[in-house]
Amino acid sequence: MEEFSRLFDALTPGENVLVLYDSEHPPYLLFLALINYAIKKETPVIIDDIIDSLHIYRTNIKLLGLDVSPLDNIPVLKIGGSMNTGHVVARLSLDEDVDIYISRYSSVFGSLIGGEQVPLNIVLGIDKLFAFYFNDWRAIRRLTTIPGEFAEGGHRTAVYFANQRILETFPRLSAMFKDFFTTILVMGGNLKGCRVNVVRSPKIEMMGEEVTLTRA
Amino acid sequence: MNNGVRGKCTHAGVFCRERHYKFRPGETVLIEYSSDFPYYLAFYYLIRAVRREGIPVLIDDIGDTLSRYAFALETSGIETSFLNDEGVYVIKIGGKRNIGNVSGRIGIESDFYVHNLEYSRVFENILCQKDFFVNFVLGFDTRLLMTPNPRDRFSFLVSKLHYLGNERRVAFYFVNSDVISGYTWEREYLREMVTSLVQLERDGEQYVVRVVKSPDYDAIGSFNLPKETLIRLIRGEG
Repeated sequence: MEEFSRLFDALTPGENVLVLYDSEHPPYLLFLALINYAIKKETPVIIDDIIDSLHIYRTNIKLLGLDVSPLDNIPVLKIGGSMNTGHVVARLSLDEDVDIYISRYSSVFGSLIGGEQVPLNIVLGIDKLFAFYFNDWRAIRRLTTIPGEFAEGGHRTAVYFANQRILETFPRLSAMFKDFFTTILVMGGNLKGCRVNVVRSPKIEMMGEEVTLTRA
Repeated sequence: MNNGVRGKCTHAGVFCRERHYKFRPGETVLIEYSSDFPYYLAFYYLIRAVRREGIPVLIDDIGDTLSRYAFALETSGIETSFLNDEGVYVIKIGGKRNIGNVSGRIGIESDFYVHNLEYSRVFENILCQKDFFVNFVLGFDTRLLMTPNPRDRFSFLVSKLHYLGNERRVAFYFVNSDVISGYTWEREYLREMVTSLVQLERDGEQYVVRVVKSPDYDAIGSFNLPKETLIRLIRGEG
């Protein structure tokens, strides 16, 4: 847990963190630890819930027998999807046109931030948007640059959770996407406890290390 | 409604080892079998265990898949009259061969909006009558094959999210891993959205059961199932 805090304490506002996982190495424990960490630090959190991803996380966490109540008070920006998980404060439909979507997203997101503290923005399901736009290369290329655009100004710190196997379906674009991140973490272990591989971090001495997160 | 339902588990395990592996209410279990695994025996083993406990069953029969299962069981000398029991409901999605208690019918060509509406109508109807049931989804892989447009496949997958976590049911999806291996992101999305993933394969004279993902994390791991054990489980007291 201490090492985990070191990773996240080191972040500069505007930075982007990418957490890569697959179904064998799920991210639920890390996700929950991150929420609890933010609550403890009194850092405001906004969850971007793309196409009901939060529902998958919440269901899995609940079935693991862990406390899901911290999730239920966090402001949620719903992007597509139909299930109301958490405290939904804004909703965006997924327009066929990616440019319209992104410009709506910036104005809605802009209206949610602006307090004294830089919020932690947890983005669930960006990989699902890649799949959603599937054969629209231009749309996906446009999506890959979002983390970079929102980094400017340092109004938020973002943690993106993405299914590695789905991203890999779009190899060149996902490689480009990864270039926008200053922290990249790859999930190992399983639901009992998770190991997090630090692939890239501003804490240079932590790169290549493995951080263990035991089940609370 | 009965309050005891929340604590209820199906005692059906996927071919248990020493310990009886229970599925928790709200779970969606994906069973990926390879083409050389007798998938219908796995289905039979599970449904028999569930029915022995008197738990009602809803079978999603996509494109007459159920008749393929029933035929395979019958030719293996297994009695399939349990499919006509009162507690066994069938939703037909496409197809025309009626087996069991057909409680709803959805055209396979209908658009997803109509499909979801009709599906949830049948589903809710059964929920109204029963406290808890087990849902077997057969032919999900066929459905992907029959849906040429990727966006439609995406919508189809997403529509299933709605039922995930509903604690009044447990769902088992049977898919042929060789069929879905060509659908990369679809397969990974499906694997992510389920709460348990079990893979069934053959290795020479033995069968292999691999629990890749489960909220019961002690169950994660793989074990061999010799042919004799499989036969004993199917024929005898398993």
